[in-house]
Amino acid sequence: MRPLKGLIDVRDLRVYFPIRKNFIEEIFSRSRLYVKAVDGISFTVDEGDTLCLVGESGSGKTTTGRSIVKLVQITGGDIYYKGINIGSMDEKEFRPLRKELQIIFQDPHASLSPGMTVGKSIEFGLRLHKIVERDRLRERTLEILRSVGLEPADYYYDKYPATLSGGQKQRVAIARAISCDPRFIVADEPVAMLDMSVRSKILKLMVDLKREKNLTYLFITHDLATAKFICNKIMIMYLGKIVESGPSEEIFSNPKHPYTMALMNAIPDLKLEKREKEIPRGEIPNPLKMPSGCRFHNRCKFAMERCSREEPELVEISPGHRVACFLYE
Amino acid sequence: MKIISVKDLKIYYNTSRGVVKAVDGVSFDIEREETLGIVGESGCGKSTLAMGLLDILPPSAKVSGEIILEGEDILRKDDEELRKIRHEKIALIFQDPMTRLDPLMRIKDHFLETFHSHRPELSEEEALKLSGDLLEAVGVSRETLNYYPHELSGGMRQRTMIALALIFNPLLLVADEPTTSLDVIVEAQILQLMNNIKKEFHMSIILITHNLGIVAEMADRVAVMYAGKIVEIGPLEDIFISPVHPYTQGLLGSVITLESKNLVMMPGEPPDLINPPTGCRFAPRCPYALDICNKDEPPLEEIKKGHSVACFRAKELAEEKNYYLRGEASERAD
Amino acid sequence: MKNEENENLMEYLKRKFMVNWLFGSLSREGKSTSAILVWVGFFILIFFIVIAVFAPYIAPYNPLKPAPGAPSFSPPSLKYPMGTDLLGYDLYSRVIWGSRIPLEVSALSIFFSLIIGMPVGLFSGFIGGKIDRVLVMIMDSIYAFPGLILAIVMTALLGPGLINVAVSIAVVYIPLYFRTVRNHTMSVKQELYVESGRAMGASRFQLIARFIAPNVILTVPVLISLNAADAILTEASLSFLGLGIPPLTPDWGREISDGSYYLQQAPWLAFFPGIFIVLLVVALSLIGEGLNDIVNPLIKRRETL
Repeated sequence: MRPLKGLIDVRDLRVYFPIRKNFIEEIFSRSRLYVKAVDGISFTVDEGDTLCLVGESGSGKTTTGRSIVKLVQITGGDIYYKGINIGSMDEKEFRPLRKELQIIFQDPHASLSPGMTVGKSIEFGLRLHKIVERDRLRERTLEILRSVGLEPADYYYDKYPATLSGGQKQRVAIARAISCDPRFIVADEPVAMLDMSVRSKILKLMVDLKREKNLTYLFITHDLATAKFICNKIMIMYLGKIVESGPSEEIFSNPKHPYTMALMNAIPDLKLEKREKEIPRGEIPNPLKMPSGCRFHNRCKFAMERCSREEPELVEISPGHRVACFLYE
Repeated sequence: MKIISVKDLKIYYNTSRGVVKAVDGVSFDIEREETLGIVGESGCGKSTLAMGLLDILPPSAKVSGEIILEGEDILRKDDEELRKIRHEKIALIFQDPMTRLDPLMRIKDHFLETFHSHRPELSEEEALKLSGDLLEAVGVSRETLNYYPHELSGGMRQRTMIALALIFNPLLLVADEPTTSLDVIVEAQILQLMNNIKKEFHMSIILITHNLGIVAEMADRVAVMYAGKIVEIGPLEDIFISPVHPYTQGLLGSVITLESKNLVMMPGEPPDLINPPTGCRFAPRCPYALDICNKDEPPLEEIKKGHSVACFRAKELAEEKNYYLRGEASERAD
Repeated sequence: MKNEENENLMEYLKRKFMVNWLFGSLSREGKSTSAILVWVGFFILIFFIVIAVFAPYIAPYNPLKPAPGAPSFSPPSLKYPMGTDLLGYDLYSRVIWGSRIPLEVSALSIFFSLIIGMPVGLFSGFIGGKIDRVLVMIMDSIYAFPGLILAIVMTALLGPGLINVAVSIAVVYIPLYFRTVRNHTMSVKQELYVESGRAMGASRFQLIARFIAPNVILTVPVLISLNAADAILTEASLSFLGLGIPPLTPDWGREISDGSYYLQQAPWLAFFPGIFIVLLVVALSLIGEGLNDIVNPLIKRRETL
């Protein structure tokens, strides 16, 4: 086993979701059908990184993020945090570590409890993990609210989420995530549901907080432009596997995998040249009907005969830059 | 040739908290085979506007103004005439096709139902043939007719919606966030498709979205909405390369692209549509605001042919960027 | 900062007890029909509660004895506003005093139903699986029983007495609270904010108590009012049938039962208690229906709970 690196070290992670069958099939058929949401991925996140996990629907990026904070059960593989194997821990063991591994969800309207004021939502974590003594709870909460730009803090302290805008709610979600001084935060498409003008503000907030509090981010997104803006390392996933990963400067200037290139091509930009884009045909296949061999081969313009038979391994083609494609083997 | 002319359209909702002025005096024209992109953020009224164009608003909505299609004001028409206009002259596609398609009906039944209600004289065979042709025109195989909506992928559903919209070769297609729920690559496919059919079917398109990137790819003209009003409208190049209205500038500056280095941060949030601020609605957030901006609402005025801005300092701001060097300023009755 | 006044009022009231919050949302709804319904029902209810509480001061005569010098079967008059019965009891006094039992019994029975039905519902909805299925089966069986018959059986088993009657009636309604709370819990537990509670490290108990329960609880006041309306009728039926409370105790159901023998000669004997029951039940139903109308859209809009 190679030595553990980084803050988070993920090895051969697999997350399979069984499909519910109806009563008859349950009795009569033997095989179980699974959606292989994450199908054997390995990567590390170093302290201080912002690693972007990029992919479209069905890529497994959200499932990966959630399994690291143990909101989803792992089917196989290991997850190490600071050298400790958290993948195999049960909830009781893991609970004290939860304050160090936090998550921000995509939907700001759904991730805050409607029945709790902003203040109470944040205090819950502070109280649970005994971050400050009781009499200093409110003070600390107000500090936290200020640090995410919700001022005057007293005003927001008593507010119920329903009265806040999307951007404000997401700030509360961020406040909650940083309240217990975490080391590592999974941000699951945190700006995807926000207006354009609000996105930039929230991203800036996240960048500032990272610097102030020495955080490490796993930033999940489907938007390569956002990824480029915020991350220093990037990982592109397709149908449960990593297809390309590396330092973001390198990947953006030198994308190698056909899927990565297709994604970059497809992003609408503000340039007005009406060029005819080359877009791969077809759509992301049903994960229950995975293509044989390389999962992208049926949409890939470079596909060779080999691609339909074998699955390419992730190989390092230049320092830090890994690709899973037969074009480079 | 103008296909549709919207004049001072107002759509107000009565709610328990007061009157929401969702669309507050919007005017624009669309030419044949032109794509007008209507951009704005949430709460600006663009979706309400889309529904208003087809008059599919909830009963609590009060509409005033005119929508002139082929010389007649469709807001004055009765239900039966409106029904004909809907779909035959103006078709609508939504963000989420699943909400528009009946999960209990096969795709072919969706087509047949539409044919039956608008062209009952056609036989089922003929209708099915036309439906199959339409599906192929949008890149979907004919066999899809036999599937149920949930059996189709997101992209296929949206293509099917487009095919349904094209049945009667409408004059105008209103697309309300047509690609927002699709993956990036599929989005690119659908946009390409829409551009192609626009030429093939000689349609005009109103593209309503918050995504400036797709507007850049699709639109000929752009209208920027804020708090129920159009604050700037003009040709794509003008708006994207030399935006005049401070909100447009801020909006464009906050879009994240592969080239973004620094992003604009507009302070504040859009106003409450029940009690919008007096004067210009953007004034509280505007770095150029003057006293007058808090008292009077700036009218939408042409600063250049085809390019209008609702801002008291429009001329000033435009001059600052030497817009007058390009094209002529229009005559104004000063 | 937008939405100032409306939100501040609502939140301020919400910070206090739920009752205050209800008033808050009602005043916001203002003149809407639902709000009027609730207010009307509410005032009628208060009226009855006041009567019950101040019965000793309002009732002119001792209800447990015939009014001194009263003729039997005298129709309503100035001296005896609701008339007298066979033995010369003043009906007015008995009706006034008779408001106590229905109110006490229903209040008590609701209390019992709640403290059992709600926690069990929360637990069952949260835990799911086999335990949930067994509990649902038990509760559904109780629910399937016609309420009155069940109440009769329970009273027969437990014997007479105020508490026993309350318990008997409570049993009938426990499944109602259980079901509603359980179903709501099952849907709330899927919500993202519950998951975010887990991500913070909340234990299962904390998830139920802090994240799920506050968001489920709002459907309960509606249940309570409608339950109360029903409980009053059940209590009246039980006492009408002669069960539960000792004879001679002033109680509307008992009055109707006694008066029903003399419908020809002295219709007022059954009329007045009957009208009072109807009024109270209608009042409670108004409150329940009105609350329902107000609360449902709020739940849908996620404006609260």
